[in-house]
Amino acid sequence: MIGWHNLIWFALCAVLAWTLGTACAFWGAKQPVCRRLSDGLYLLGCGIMTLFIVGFWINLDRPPLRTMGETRLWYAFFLPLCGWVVYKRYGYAFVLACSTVMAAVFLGLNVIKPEIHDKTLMPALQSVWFCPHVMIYMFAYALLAVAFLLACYRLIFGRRLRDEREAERCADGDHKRDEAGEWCEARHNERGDGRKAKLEKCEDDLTRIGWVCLSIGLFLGSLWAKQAWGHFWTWDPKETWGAATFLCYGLYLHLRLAFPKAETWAQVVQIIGFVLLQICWYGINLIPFLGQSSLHIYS
Amino acid sequence: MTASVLWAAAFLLLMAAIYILSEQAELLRFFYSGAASVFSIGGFLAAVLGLGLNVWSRTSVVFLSLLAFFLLTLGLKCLHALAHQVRPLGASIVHLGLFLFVFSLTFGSFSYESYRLLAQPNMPESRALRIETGEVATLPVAVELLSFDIRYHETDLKHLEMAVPRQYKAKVKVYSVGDNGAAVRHEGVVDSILVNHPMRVAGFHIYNTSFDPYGQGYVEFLLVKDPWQWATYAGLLFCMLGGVVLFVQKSRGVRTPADKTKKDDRLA
Repeated sequence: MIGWHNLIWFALCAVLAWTLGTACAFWGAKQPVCRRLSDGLYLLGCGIMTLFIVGFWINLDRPPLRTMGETRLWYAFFLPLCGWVVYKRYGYAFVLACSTVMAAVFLGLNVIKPEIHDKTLMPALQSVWFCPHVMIYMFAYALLAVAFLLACYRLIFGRRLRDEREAERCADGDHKRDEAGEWCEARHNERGDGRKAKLEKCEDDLTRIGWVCLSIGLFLGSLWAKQAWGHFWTWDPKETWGAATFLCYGLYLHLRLAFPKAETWAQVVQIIGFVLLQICWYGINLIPFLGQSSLHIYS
Repeated sequence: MTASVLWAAAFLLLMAAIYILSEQAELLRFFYSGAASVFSIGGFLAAVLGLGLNVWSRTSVVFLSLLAFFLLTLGLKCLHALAHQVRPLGASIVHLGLFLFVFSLTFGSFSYESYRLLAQPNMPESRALRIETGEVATLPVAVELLSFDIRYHETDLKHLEMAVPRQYKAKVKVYSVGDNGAAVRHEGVVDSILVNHPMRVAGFHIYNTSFDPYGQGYVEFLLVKDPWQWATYAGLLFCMLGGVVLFVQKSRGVRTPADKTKKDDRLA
């Protein structure tokens, strides 16, 4: 019988597989065997977590999506999966490492606090909207966590990325600007700025898809609220912080389109968005001042 | 209903006037520019953060002003996209959906009615407390409680006073109320109301929002009349549809100087 009491063994095996997979991605990046081994180990870790979730679901006799611990479980499942997809698409092994560490932290929290698991499901949660609403939210959280990691990386190592570009320029002996400076700048960007552009594109794509999932989750929640409480939107603390998160990521996307050169500001907005997301997810449960009388606190 | 329609019409007229005048006045074109989007989203984000941190309420001037600016720029953006068939499609559908959603919630709130009604067995009740105003009103429908069934989780049965119910169901009969204020006895509608399964009758949605753990014999229902709900549903549908289109659509991304050069080369 798979339950929270044996989560520790599943968690250990999954984290071990993810760690070994990450190590292979770092040290054997140029060898096809290592790359395949890395993929295999990483997916094995995801498979172990899938097995646990399915078993847990059967044991509970309801979808494990109710308590904070259960949502953390999905987060720890989706995060490495999103990290792996980003690694396969863009080749950044550090994304695998960060995803593994974050998933391990969330699994660790669930192992340390087993009382957060509960078999009961209150009437308000017995709805067709329950599974799609929570699952799409967790998927969005995982995507936006990876986007947050990229934003931190770009913010911290932004200077180094620019220096790399400058070094390539100097090596080419082509560091003079012509009269129409923009053309020359463009040529430099094309040649020396490939890595930076790739990271930028990756972060934008992750945020866009994450924001779309977040929006769909938010609107599904609104439909559910109408069915359960008679109102689409009541500015309940969870809804307020959910709206703030939605707006913050919307701001990031519009900032990138309207002011493409304001990169630092965009990274700062991305980081604020991630902080708001944490407040919306569990911050309002932990800080009573933020989540007083919320209808959304179930555990 | 009249107040909400008047306010909504005034807002739409203002929006149309700004858009028409913007053909001549370049300054007004700012309202549907990318910069205006950034400022209006940023402003509304600040308003929502203030609400979350209990700095102001949702009826405060600051909050309402920033909401109005957000709605205005969003509406003008939609109008501009419709008039000039601005791409990409996904973003335009999301903008339109979001505008419909926020617009109908904002102006529909003037005509939104919700009531608390205590129903008892053998006594059709039509008097209810209007939540928005705190006044007692007589509704055009009367609710009679026929039966109430509550089931608890087995694990909770030892401590019933703290137990969370697994499900509760109220069987009710709803009558229309005659001109004299009394329930018309012979034409009642019988139905069961569960959480997440409201009953719809005579323009009202009846929600089972509470249970009676101590067996005092009455159950509280929430009756809601929301004439703007279909506009809100349409907005939500557009938002989700646009989200799906955005999801499958190829990213337009940010135009870098390199992109400009490539485009210029192609044109040359």
